[in-house]
Amino acid sequence: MESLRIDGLRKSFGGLNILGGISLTVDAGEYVAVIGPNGAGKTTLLNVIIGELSADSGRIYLFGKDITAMPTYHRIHAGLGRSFQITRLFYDLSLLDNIALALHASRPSRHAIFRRAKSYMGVVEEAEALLRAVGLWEKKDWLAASVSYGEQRKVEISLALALKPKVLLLDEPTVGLAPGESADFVAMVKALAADTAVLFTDHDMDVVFSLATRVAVLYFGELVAEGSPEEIQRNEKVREIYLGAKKNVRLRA
Amino acid sequence: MGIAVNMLNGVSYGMILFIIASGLSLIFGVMGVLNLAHGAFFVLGAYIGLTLAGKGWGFVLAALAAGAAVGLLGLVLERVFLGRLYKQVNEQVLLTLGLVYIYWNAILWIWGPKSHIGKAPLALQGDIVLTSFSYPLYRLWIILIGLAIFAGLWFLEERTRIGAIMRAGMDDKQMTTGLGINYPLFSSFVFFLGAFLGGLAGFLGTPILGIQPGLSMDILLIAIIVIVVGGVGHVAGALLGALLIGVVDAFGKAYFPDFALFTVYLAMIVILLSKPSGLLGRRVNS
Amino acid sequence: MNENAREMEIRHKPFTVYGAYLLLAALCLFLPPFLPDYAQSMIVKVFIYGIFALSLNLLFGYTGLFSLGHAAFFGVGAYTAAILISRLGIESFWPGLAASLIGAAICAVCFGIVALQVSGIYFLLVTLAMGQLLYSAAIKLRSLAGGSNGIVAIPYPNIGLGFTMTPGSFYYLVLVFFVVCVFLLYRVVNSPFGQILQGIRGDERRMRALGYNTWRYKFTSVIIGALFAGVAGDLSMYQNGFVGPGHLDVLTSTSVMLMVILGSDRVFWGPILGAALVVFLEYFASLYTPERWPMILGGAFLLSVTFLRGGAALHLVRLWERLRKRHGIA
Repeated sequence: MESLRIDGLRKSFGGLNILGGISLTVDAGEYVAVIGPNGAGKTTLLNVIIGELSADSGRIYLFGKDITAMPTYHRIHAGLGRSFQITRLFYDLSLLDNIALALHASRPSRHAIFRRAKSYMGVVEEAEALLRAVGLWEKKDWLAASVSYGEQRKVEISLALALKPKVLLLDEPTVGLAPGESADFVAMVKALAADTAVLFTDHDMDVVFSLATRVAVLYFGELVAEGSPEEIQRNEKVREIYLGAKKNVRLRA
Repeated sequence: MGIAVNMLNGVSYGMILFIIASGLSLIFGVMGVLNLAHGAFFVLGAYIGLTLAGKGWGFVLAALAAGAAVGLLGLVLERVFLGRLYKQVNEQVLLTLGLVYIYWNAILWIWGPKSHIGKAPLALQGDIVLTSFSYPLYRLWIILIGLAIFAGLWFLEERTRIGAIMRAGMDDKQMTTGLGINYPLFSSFVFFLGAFLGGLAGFLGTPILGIQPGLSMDILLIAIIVIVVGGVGHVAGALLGALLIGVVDAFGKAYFPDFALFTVYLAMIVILLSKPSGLLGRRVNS
Repeated sequence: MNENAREMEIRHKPFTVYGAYLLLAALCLFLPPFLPDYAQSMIVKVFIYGIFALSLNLLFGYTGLFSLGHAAFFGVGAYTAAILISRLGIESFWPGLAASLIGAAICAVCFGIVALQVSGIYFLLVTLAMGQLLYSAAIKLRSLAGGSNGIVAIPYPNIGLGFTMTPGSFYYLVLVFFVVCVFLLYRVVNSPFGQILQGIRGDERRMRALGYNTWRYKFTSVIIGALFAGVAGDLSMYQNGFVGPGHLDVLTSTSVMLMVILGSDRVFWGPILGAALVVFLEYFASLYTPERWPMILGGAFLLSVTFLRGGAALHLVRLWERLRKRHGIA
């Protein structure tokens, strides 16, 4: 089943062509990695899909529904979710409150003006569980500003996961994580619900090849290759693009 | 009163607005700081100039000295207070807010609450006969002076290195220092010039607008409207906005005395909603 | 460094905090009849401006909306009630209050729809312009609003309980309103709605990416803030006995912003402290140098913004936390 389909997306900024007609499909349960050198347009692609940027032309379909004209918050309610490349947390709030905000968004409590936020035990428990999953439960009352970068990154991902999106967009999720933490992240994503579709970008080829069921290569706004991780590794054009990049990428079974 | 007279009134008033607004636009457009104390700069310049003129200083000398004094004040402001609040726009605005209270009260203290009308220099007093009516010579000269200042600022903006930095919107300390530009010097210059223009406008405006301490807030609001309507980032924007507001005000006062100010504020809101950067403006860095 | 979230939240209220509240309550309830008139009216002023400043902080400190037009709601609240009393002859307190709320709400809807189209400094400018628009309208509407003189000779409120109000009983009326407003606002900011507002202040883009229709929340916070400001305006009108265009102008908007900043925008009760500081400072200035008052206020403000960042209440809370830890007080 097609969870996400994009059709001929184009985007240019002041004469500069960032995306030139991208078409891609992500089915339920698929993990599609979009790789490419810096400046290829990966983040722009994600920004367009989530709705922060509007495409110049092309369509976006979520479960067959045309969401091209929908505002961002609407798309979230339709099942989309994203994490940011540059960590964006609510630094004035505690880790628990950060996650709680993500949880309230999909509940009727988001309209509550009078009842104390702390009294929504369901939300509190779920938030604590999410923090426990990334090993940050002890710091749940710490201000987001006072935890380490790697820990902030974990919260960043948790915020996206808290939404339980059916289509998850991850923008360079492992930036700044130590190798052990990257492995944790991969496990976290693999543990998502079986029908979740994931579209992610990353520079860490270990993560890409251990997580992706399919890889698409973006080069200056064009999709130049698409296929299974093995196919992409053997692809001559891709090797050209990544000349000088990891020559010792091992195949994951 | 004929259309021509109203037009000239609007343009000459607009020129005063242009001079003060160009200063405000400079500080806002380049440094991203909305200097709420700019109206006080205007009033200060007027009072200092009037005091000097009263002591026998020549008109031109008094004008330049008044401008320089206010410019210096702007400089001090930037060094002592605003420099500490680098990139915190809210705090900067709040700071200038506090300064308004101080300046306004200080002006009241030193010069008292009475309003004054300035006197044009002897050479420029009196009316000149234009076709079918006579018109104050001073106002005509203000139009010329305003255009001269515009030319000077335009030259600065378009043809000098400092202007290039200003146009590039380089209010980023690290970026500019990384390019070998002396950032503290640059920001001090911008503030000095902006404040200088404010003070100069104040003194030059005294024969036309008169002066009293309460003008601090009033003229600030009008200057804000001017730069919002005309646009921030190019000195031409300040000129366009000022002339527009000046003319609208002049005709408004002549034909709809009850509604002039109202329409001006409304115009500002409309522009802010449709093109926040103003008619000729670029996006403000903030 | 381990810091508790949002300074004003004390997880399990310590014994000392309850004690302080009790003491404060006792003082407010029982002391005033023994105070001279001017002191009583000062405290009333603190209550009224406390509500006003708290209402602004909902927009500023919690939602991140820097508005310099907040006095519009305050003034409209005062004017609508005054018009009801003096032009329509409706002397009772309650219809006046209802009118204040409705007037403030309508004003807020207009402000919200227009001003929330833009953000940042442009939002500031639009709110400034709209406040001034109302100000010039108030001056023009001579028959309805009394022009530059405003509406004068407003008697103390008649709350319909069959007695004439005195400054003493007016004090208790304002106290009741103060307590109710503070309670309501406290609940609002601690609700999920309040958390969402803080999220919007922190990172609006992120909030949208979480699925929040941030415009609607900002709009709602403007309306709620306006309602409370309207109440403050209504009460202020009774205290002063008049309402004038000055209630609406930019100086009132900046004064209340000053109170918020001086007190603290990061602590719930900061604006109340700020209002108290300003009222008391003004009183002392009036004793020695009444003409220099704006300068003193500006100076205090300058020092606060430059050196005492975060406001007085924040520093008090931090000091208190340090003392508590060092001496092991509960």
